[in-house]
Amino acid sequence: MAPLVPWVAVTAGGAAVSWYLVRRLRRRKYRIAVLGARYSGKTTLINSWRGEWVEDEFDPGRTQAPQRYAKTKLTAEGLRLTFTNLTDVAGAINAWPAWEDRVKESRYVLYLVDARALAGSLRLFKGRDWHRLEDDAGLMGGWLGANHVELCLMVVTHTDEDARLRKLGEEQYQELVMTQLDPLILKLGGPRKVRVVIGSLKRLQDAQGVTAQIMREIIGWEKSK
Amino acid sequence: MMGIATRWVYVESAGDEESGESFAWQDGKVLSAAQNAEREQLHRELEDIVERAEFDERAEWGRAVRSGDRLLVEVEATPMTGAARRLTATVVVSVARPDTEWASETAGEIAAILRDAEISIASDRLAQAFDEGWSRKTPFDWLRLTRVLAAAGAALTIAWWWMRSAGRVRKRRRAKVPTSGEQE
Repeated sequence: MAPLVPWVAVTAGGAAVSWYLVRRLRRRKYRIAVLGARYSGKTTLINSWRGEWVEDEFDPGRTQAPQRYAKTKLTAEGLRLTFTNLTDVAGAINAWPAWEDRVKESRYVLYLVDARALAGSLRLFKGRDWHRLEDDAGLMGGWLGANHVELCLMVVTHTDEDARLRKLGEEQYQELVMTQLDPLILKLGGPRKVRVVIGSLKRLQDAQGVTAQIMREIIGWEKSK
Repeated sequence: MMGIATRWVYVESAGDEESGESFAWQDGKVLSAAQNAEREQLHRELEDIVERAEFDERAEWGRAVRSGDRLLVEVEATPMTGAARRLTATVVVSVARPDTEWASETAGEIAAILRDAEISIASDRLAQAFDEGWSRKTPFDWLRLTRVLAAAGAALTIAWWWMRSAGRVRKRRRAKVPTSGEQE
């Protein structure tokens, strides 16, 4: 019996290490859905993740047919994440069924909100105004509840084009945005399931800052479990 | 044209309005802004083609995605009524022939459809996109081959292990059964 003990201990130890490594590796590979109305910055953000930054003057325009990427690796501030089967979807309201498909297969959802819609400067643009945000949040709240999504991140973009930021300063501006987002957060499932990231995608370094905030939220969420 | 069916032609508007302003054409008919079900069907089909794509390639002529007999092509377009933003024309065709002789004629037909909607595209670019998209061979799927080989290897290893252990059991049984000579 005695000679068996080291063998059992080695086997058990090996299994434990393998299990830990597999879990660690799996933990950092996720499916994520990047959603938002037209011109909210979905393609810009995804391009920044893929090292394919496109300056405004060469902007190819709207995404019509989706674009799929098998693997997208992110590194920011020493943190690493891999997103699998990342899809850049259209922002048109007729693409909502495609959004739902993405939510169904994702662990995380990024919902991009154009700060200009919060500022009211898009009220003349049907489909990109506050009502569109309410419609999106209402629908997505239902999908998030019915599927296995862990966390929804609201990413407020285009803050560089929101005059209120310069007027109020960073801190007060963020408070104001959070107050405006409250009803949308409730529609999406409440503060327990929703986090907010605020930034600009004007320059690559701004986009990297937003990405770092997103990664911190996701990794923080994973660690808290 | 024989063996070719243009399924969808889709161009989102140059302005900032929602889909009411975007141009959608399905199987010979222009869709109105209110035809939401058809427009949703368009997005579903685009998603399905991309998801099942045998190849998906971007080049200077645009983008081509092939899935079975369906070919999705995206080329640059410009509004004839002077909006600043560049547009993208998304076209889906069903092709039931192996050659690409249809490319120029079909591109001309699609350019005419768009011209009626005051959208201009370079039909030679669209023809090139059709040609490149349809004639390009599917890249060899190394990942699938690796998976098949790994599965076959695993199956063979299990079969070998099972036969070996079965053989051992048989030998052990044979060794235990006393022979008729021993009984005597």
